[in-house]
Amino acid sequence: MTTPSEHLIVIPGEMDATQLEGAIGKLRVRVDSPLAPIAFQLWDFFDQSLRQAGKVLVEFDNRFLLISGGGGCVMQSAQRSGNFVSDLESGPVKQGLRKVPPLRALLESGAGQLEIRRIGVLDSLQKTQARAVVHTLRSDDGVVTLVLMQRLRGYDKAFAVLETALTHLATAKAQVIDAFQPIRPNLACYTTKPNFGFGSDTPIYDAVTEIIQGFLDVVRANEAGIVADHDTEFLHDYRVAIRKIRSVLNACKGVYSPGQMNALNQSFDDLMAPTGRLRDLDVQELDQAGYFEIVPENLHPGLNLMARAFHKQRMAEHRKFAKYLSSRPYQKTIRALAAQVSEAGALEPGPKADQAGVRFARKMILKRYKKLQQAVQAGGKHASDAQLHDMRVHCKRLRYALELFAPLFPSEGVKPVLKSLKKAQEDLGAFNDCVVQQDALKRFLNTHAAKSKADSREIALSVGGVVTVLTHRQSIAREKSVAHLSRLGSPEYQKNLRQILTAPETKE
Amino acid sequence: MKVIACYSNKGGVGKTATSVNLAYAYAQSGARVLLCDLDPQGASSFYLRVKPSKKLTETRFFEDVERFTKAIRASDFENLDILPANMTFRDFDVFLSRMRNSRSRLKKALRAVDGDYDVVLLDCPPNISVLSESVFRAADTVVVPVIPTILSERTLEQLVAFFDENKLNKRKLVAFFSMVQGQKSLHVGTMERLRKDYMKMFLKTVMPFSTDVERMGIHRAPVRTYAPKRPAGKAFHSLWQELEARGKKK
Repeated sequence: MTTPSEHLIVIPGEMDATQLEGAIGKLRVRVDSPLAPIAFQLWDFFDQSLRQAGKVLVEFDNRFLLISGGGGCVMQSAQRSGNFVSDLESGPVKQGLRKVPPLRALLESGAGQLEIRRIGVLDSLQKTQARAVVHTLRSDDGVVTLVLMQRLRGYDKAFAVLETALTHLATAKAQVIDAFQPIRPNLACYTTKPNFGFGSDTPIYDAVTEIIQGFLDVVRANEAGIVADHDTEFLHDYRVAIRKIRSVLNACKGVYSPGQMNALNQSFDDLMAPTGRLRDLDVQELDQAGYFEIVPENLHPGLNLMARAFHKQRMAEHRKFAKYLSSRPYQKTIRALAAQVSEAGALEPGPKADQAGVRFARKMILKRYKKLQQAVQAGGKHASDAQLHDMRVHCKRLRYALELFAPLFPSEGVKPVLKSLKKAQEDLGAFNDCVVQQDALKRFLNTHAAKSKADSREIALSVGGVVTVLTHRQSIAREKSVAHLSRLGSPEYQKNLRQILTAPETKE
Repeated sequence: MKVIACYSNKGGVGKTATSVNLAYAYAQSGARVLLCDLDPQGASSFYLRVKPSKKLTETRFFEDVERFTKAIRASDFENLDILPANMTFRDFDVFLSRMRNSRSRLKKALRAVDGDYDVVLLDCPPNISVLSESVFRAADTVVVPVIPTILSERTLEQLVAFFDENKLNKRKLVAFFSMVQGQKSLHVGTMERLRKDYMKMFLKTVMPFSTDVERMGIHRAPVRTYAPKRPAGKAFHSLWQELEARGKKK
């Protein structure tokens, strides 16, 4: 084929093309003058899923270049309607990003100026046998060079010679991501799953305090993203982190004094309370996109009216919440809370504070499992909506307990137990979503003042269509949930759970 | 994939210059182009600075599809590849006649690169032979440069007669006047007569006699890379435009 195939070599710092002379045998290098510098941006998601996968996404000259951990690369137009992967044009970069969470927006993680130079490897007839385009990316902090080699048909030897010469200047393939470190040295690492350092002999007071501290950091890390409204996952992560803290407090009675426990519970309840309405509206907007696919086109006008109304409400609620997050009282409260949690001994200990973590966690997890079992038995095959909701809550509590105290137990044992729990939770989640969506739609129908009778009719028709489909989905999710839950109550699951909790390495 | 042969049974009429410049024009328009230098003198390869491949010395050239595709080289121009001339295998005719069903060999070989290219241009040697017949059958269009002289007129007559005798499709033949010197009344008169005699076969484009074309040997590049606004550069562009327009009509 005439279109040259491309191959990328990443060189830390600047590349001196004159170093290639002498390394390419009888061939010689021609270096063209650099083109005028242009801007470049590095992109990643807030959870840095690209960096963690060893990938780098660069935008320049209206193109995206996605570099994989192994040094392979793909390129496509950077035309897009927004910063979500679904907003990108179809192409190899979009395809390469297909595994990232769909609700995460791309955020700029670095920027600077890019200089492009072409180099050619010529034979004695001045014929080009290999080509490369050298991209020098400079930020205020550092430099990295990307060399895109172009394989020309029939000149494999020259390509190999140039590749060998460039590889001598390059970073090892596994360290592509490290070569970019100098141009964005202040990139903060974010994770929703903090690494905890406690072990089986750590007192439960220290373990719980470390967990609260870890998740409070996650809460704080998401504040700016919520205010900037990059995507809905910032608020989601913010809420999940608070929920996990509340869950661990709820499970660890006696670790702190009753007064301290009450104060902590109150603080985190207060943090959670103002998030609910915005999250509901976020979910409503996210679900809204799917409604268009489940009802016929003649019901779309009503959906559009509803979407506009939800969007308006959501924007108003976001403004309100962003103002609250940026307010002095909020900042003062959360800073005080963070200071209290991180200061050794600042939280007043309770009667069980000195118990070994593993002993405490084992009892607590078994207690949570028992509660789940009771809920499953009470509901049986024909559980009511309320009973299924109850089971979902118990599932979530058990899962959080297992996840949060996982460092105390053998990881190979915890994984399969968590996997079954996650499956059941997914189905219960799908069931719950259907219930919540129907409630929200009905509430909207009852409270929304449409501009005209015609609008009101359109909306009612659309809501009717969506609710019909959701009811059907709910019954499917219910069946699946009941089947999965029955597995959680099985003697085999119970045996596996007991095994990990009493494994030799978890003994006190 | 469109196959265009540049052919004349008379030497020195500008076949190679036409092949190289047409190939370049097609490549510049975005088409993926393969220029096959079938002339053992290898002038197309020379113009594009491509050395003949050693692999082409093998006698099983067209028979071995892999060898055929491996011999292709990228030119210095985007979208333009070249199959360099076989310098040591001087007689394609003998080579082709040795093989059974030799007429379909070229077609088979070209099929191997179908999908890789939008346009294949064949720069042919100047004679009517087994290879020529293969070319006439494989090509969708046979571009014939004609110098407006009596001798060229004769060779065009011979070519048309050959098509008749061998029941080849004469509509494939597309001629244009090459190396024209407008100040010569002989050239002007011959052009008028031939346009009458051959009606639709001739394109409107007239390629002037130009030192810019001769300078291809110095630049070793298509005319439009160094003289795009000179008459020869413009004429090659217009030749491409007319061929494109005819191709679309078809």
